[in-house]
Order: sequence, then C-alpha cells, then structure tokens
Amino acid sequence: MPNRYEVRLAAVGGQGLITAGALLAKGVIEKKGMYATQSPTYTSQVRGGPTKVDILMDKEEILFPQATAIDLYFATAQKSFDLYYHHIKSDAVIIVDSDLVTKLPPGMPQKLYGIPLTKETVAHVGNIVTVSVVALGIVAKVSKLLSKEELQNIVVSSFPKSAEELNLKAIDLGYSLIS
Amino acid sequence: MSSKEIYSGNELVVKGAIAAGCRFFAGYPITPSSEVAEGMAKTLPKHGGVFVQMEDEIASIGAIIGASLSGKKVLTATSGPGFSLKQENLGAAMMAEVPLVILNVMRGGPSTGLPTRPAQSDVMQARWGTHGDHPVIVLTPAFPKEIFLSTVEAFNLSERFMTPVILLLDEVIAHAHEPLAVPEPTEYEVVNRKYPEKLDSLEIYKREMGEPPIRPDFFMGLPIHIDSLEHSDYGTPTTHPEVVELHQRRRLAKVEKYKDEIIKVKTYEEEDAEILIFAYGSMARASLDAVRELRKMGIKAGLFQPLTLWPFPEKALEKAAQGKKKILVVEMNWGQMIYEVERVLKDRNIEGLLRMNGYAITPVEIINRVKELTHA
Repeated sequence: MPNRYEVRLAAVGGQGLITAGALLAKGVIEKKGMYATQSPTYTSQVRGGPTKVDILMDKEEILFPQATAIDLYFATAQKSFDLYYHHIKSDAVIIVDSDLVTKLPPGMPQKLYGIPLTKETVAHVGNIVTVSVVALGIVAKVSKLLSKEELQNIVVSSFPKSAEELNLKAIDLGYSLIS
Repeated sequence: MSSKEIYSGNELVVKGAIAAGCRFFAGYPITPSSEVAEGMAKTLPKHGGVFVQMEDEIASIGAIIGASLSGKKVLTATSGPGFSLKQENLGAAMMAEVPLVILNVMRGGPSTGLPTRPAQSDVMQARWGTHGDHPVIVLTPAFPKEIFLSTVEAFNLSERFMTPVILLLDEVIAHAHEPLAVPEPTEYEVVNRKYPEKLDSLEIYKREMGEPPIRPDFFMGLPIHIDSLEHSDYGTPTTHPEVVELHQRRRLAKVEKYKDEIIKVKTYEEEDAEILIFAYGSMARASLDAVRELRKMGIKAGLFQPLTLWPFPEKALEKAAQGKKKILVVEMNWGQMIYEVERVLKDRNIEGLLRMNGYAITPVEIINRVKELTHA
C-alpha cells in the first residue's frame, strides 16, 4: 500500500462515476483505515455535462482535498478526458473506454489501457447503469487499493438488496477486463 | 465521540445549522451550494422545521427575515449570483436588526461566471455589498470540523448581536467529502436571542451604545414596529439627525465593541517563521500543506488563517506578522484581502499569489512562490 494514491474518474453526468468515487473513498477508509477524500466536479448541465471525481488516499491527514499528482486516470468520454487531463503523473496508469475516448494526446507518457467498457457492460452484465461498478472493479484491481472481497462488501452494503446480483456481476466483469 | 462518517462541506453546514437550532430555510438552488438546500429539505421536517423553495433569491432572504422576526433561527444558502441579489434585503436585516445566516459558497464571477468552479472573489462584497455603513460579521472556515463549528457560531453570533452573519465557503471545501466525527453538543455552545422580561415597552431599540435590541418576536402580543427606514427607539421612521446618528453608531458599535470576542484565527508554525502566509478557506488548506513541506526543506514558513474575515483580525495579524521578513497573501481572486493586509501591515514586504481562472492554487505552486521569495 503506497503512502499516497490519487485517482481521477472523468465521465459525463449520469454515468454514475461520482457515486463510484464516493464508494472507493468509503472503502479505503473503512477497509484500510487510511485517510481519504473525494471531490466531485460538475458543470451546471445535469446530464451529459463533463464531470470528474478525484479520490485521494493517504496514510496521513489530507490537508488539501484536490488531486495534484494523479496515479490513475480513468475516462469514459472524450470531452471529459480532454478537460481533465491535467495533474497526471508521467508514470500514471490511464484507462479509457476505447469506443468513447479515441483521440489521445501525442507522445502521452503514461501507460494506457483501452477497454470497450460500455460495450462489455451491456454484453455481459446486461444493464448499462452498472458501468460505474464495472469501472470500480477495474480501478480496484489495477490500483490494488481494495481486494475484490472488500470491494464487493462496500458495493453490496451501499445499494438495495435487489441490485446485489447485478452489482456482483459487474465487479466480476471489471476484474476480468484487465490483467 | 461519535464515529467518523463522510460528509461534504455543504452537508456539514446542514449538520451545524440543525445543531444550532435552525428551524427555517428558504432558498433557491444554485451550485455549488445546492446540497445545502437538498439537505435542509430532507432534515428540517424531522426536527419540526420548515423548508421552502422560493421563486428566487430575493424572495428567499425576504422569507427568512419574516421567519426570523417570528422567532425562528433561519438560514438561506446561495452562490455569487444569488448573493448579489440578496444585498438589498441583507441591508434591511442589518437595519432592522434581524438575526439570520446567509451561506455563500463562492464560485467564479462576476455575474453567473463559472458554474461550478471555485473562487474567493466575494470577500469584499461580503463586507461592502449592501449600501450604507453597516456592521458585518463574516466567517471563513476551512477544515470539516471548522465548517461545522463556524456554522453553529454563525447562528450564535447572529442571535447574540441581532444581525445577519455571512458564512463564506468556496467550491473546493463545499464539495470535498471527508471523514469527520461530528462534534457532540458538549463541544459547542448554542446561543439564543434575548427577550424582554415584561411585554410592556414598544421602545424596542432603546439600548446602550453597541448593544442589540431586546424585543419580542411577532405574534407574542406586542404590536412592535419593524422598518428598513432609519428609525427611532420605537422602530418608527425618523430623519432626526441626532436619533439617526445614535442608532447608526449603536449598530456599528455592536461589532466594534465586541470584536475581540467575535474574532477567531488560527496560526501554524508562525513563531519562528521568516515568511508568513495569509490565507483563508481552501487556500488556508493548500497553504498549510505547503508550510508542512517547506518546513521539511528547512524553509521557515508559517500560516495565519482567519476564521473570522470580518471584522478583520487586525490585532492578531499584527502580532503574528511581527519580525517576519515577508508576507504572502494566497487567495483565489485578483487581490481583495491583500488590501486589508497592506492596510494593517503598512511597511511590510507583502506579496500576493492570486488566481481567478476557476482552478484552485495548489500546494506545489505555493511552495514554488515561497522558494522564489526566500531565494531558497
């Protein structure tokens, strides 16, 4: 577990990534006993506007609650990727929905994973609203911030029982989409 | 001690308001303050309170003035554009001496400006936004616990001095979700307005210099007169110069006389500092982060953080700045509080790190500026 780890999830309003960010922060606080904050950013456009959420995790108290050296950048829309591609470390991991983020900056130094996230979610979970939970599975696996069991526990305990089966399927898919 | 939960700054304003006894909210949603309206709508009915979404920001402050005169502790929440609209009624509440709390979560301006990006550009408007000479109390908390306690304090000061209190947050701290064990009631005091012992006098404004009115609320049985026009001891309009001056001075003196009790500041590492940073709200947090890092590099930096921005903490700043080679003001505007710092610390070497593009100044940028200034 690193001393500090910063994650940014960039999406469009309505995809559920801000909720996913809140769950990640909650998970790290409850399961790892670390200090964590999450700061969402959105425009006045409710659905379809670019949104992001920064999740900071630290072994010590976080004084300034905004991301300044991001370790993992996850984007599910081109306009959001472009707008929030800053404060990313040169050795960070970048993950994008490869159908929705197609234009990448030339000479981008970071390690890139392109995953057809939305397509895979529809095909294997069957419900597009779980795309943020699939994304959480991917983030947890890459970052090693939470074990699969810990993530399952946080997700299941945060949503109604009726969503449990779908969410567990979504986590499984997230874990299978990245090695 | 209750266990830690995750709250945004806006959610902590709701918690603090309820803890202070707020039972009426009227507002018109606007980012980045909307979560306060949402939270009050959910919470107030459970405490026997009333939430009203009004048709606009002007009506919202009008409604809370009425509810306050009827005995409730009241809150409205807004951002820059709404704060501009509220200025006329804010003056009315100062004139009639009506306790209320206005939260302004600052975003980039002017006008509708930058939804929803952070700024700290309403700090002078909070002081001088409404016309005429008027007393002002403005609180600027930064950390989660401070946001909760300053909200309680805002209600306490408004009830004690019978005057509006402005709570200023910025988007960064309003939207950051952080773990906090909400303070227990034993950790803070709740102040309620005073009432006359007998309902027999209509001279509700007949008070010593610097003392707030002691009067019944509406519907208690006494036909009191409340007016936004300058008024006599009876609250009835007057232009008599001696009466006008007496009450103008009495209202201003409410804050002036008790400013040592009102003003709260925090200082970090300031004793042996060579460079002192002046910062409030989220910029105090970025600056404290920078100070901690600079100390590790052997650079003697310190922080002065006003929790009360108005009345301006002159004495405390003078004391903290003694012997410092340089002062750095860090604020998300194009230089507003730096004027006050310059006024108080006339001959000192004062620099600014300022920004107004909708992005917060980061700890690294503060570190770099301090290094430049100290030639480290």
